[in-house]
Amino acid sequence: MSEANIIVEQTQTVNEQNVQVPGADNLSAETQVAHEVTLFAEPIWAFGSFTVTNSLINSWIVVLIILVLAVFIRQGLKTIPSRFQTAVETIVDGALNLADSVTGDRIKTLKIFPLAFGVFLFILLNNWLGLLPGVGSIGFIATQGHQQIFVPLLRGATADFNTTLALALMSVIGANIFGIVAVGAWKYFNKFVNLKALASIPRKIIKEPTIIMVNPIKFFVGLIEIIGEFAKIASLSFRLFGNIFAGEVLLTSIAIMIAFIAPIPFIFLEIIIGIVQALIFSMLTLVYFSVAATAEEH
Amino acid sequence: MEDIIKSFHIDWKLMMAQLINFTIVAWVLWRWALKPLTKVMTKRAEEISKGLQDAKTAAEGLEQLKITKQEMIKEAKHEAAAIHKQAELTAEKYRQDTVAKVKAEAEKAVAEVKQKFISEKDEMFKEVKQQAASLVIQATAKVLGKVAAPKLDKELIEQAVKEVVNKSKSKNI
Repeated sequence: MSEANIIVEQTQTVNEQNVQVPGADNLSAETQVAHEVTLFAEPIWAFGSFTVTNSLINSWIVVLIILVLAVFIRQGLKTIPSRFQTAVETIVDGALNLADSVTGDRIKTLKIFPLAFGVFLFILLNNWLGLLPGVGSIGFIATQGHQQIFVPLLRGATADFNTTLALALMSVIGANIFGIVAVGAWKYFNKFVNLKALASIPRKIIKEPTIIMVNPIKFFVGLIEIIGEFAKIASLSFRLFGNIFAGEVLLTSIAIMIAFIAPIPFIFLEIIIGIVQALIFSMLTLVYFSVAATAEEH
Repeated sequence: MEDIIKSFHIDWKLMMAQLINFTIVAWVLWRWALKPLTKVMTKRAEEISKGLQDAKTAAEGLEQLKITKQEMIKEAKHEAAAIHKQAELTAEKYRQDTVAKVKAEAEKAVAEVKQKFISEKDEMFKEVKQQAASLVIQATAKVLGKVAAPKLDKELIEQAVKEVVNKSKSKNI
């Protein structure tokens, strides 16, 4: 990422619109290599129709790290904890208490917690792994048409929209399934298409005449909730992707201007953003699951 | 929508791959790390609370034991004091009894000795009287020679001896 001749730009499509360094026309095609931070993850290999992108490789590394970590924790588990176990327990206990403050119930927390904590750790490690030196700067030069493009071998997985969208979909769809299991399909369906509210109008209208105004509003609120679910997907995926991608662009930009010392505060900033974004994503997942599991009562 | 898919290179296969990655992470974390870890933590919390409870119970038992001990000591002291008093009383009574007995015996012995002494003395006087009487008779007989009227003489002598004896008796006693 510290190459002096990196160009930061927003690329609209894959192939054509790569903007070259000013004055590139004077140079021959062989000597000019375009370095850029693209919006998308670059493909590295292709197994048939399945392309392995650099962000997918990063994601695999994260999986491997967590696997090793989990095995390591599993092996060294004792009633009288080691120093490492104490640290892990402190983190898990803190996370559990934080989750309790959202769900307000330890039993409910324990149901959602493994997923939420998994989201947190997965995103956190992906965010931080994207900051490591070498990620984004080690790669190979690929020839595309008449151009030569630098393709990094590794790229932070959360700086790839595919990852964040997959996680967001998992989070929102998972929350809905959890809600159906927790409160029942009919009750859950009425959260969105509030047939109950419409059906109860004739029954209650004599007692409460205002219900003819209130319940149709309730029905439309339910319909808006459907849009809300899609908004959740969009906000979750774009927030994470935007923050992490912007961080990479920022670090590259600073490195272009001043290669030494200057990027250090920004790297610290990105470390904080990495943990904050992971926390936001996992907390929102927790909230979605928690809200989906509560029966709507008004 | 097309633009988004194109510019972000959205590929459902890649998404599935990432989802699988995440599923592995979540499952592994839950199965190998979080579940056993929370189990251990819960177990330890239970053990600690049980230990604390046990310690509390033990402390209470100890306190109870101390109180019981104190009470026992107090009771024993009480009993010892009572026994001591009783013993003192008994000893005193015994001593008094003994003293009284000894006194009585001594008195008895003294009385006996006195009696004996008196009787012996009486006997002695009797003997002395007799001997004195015969002596006087003999002496008088010697002095007077063959007196004509021994019967008269004997009467005289006996009277004289009686006087003497009475005199000595009054002197002695």
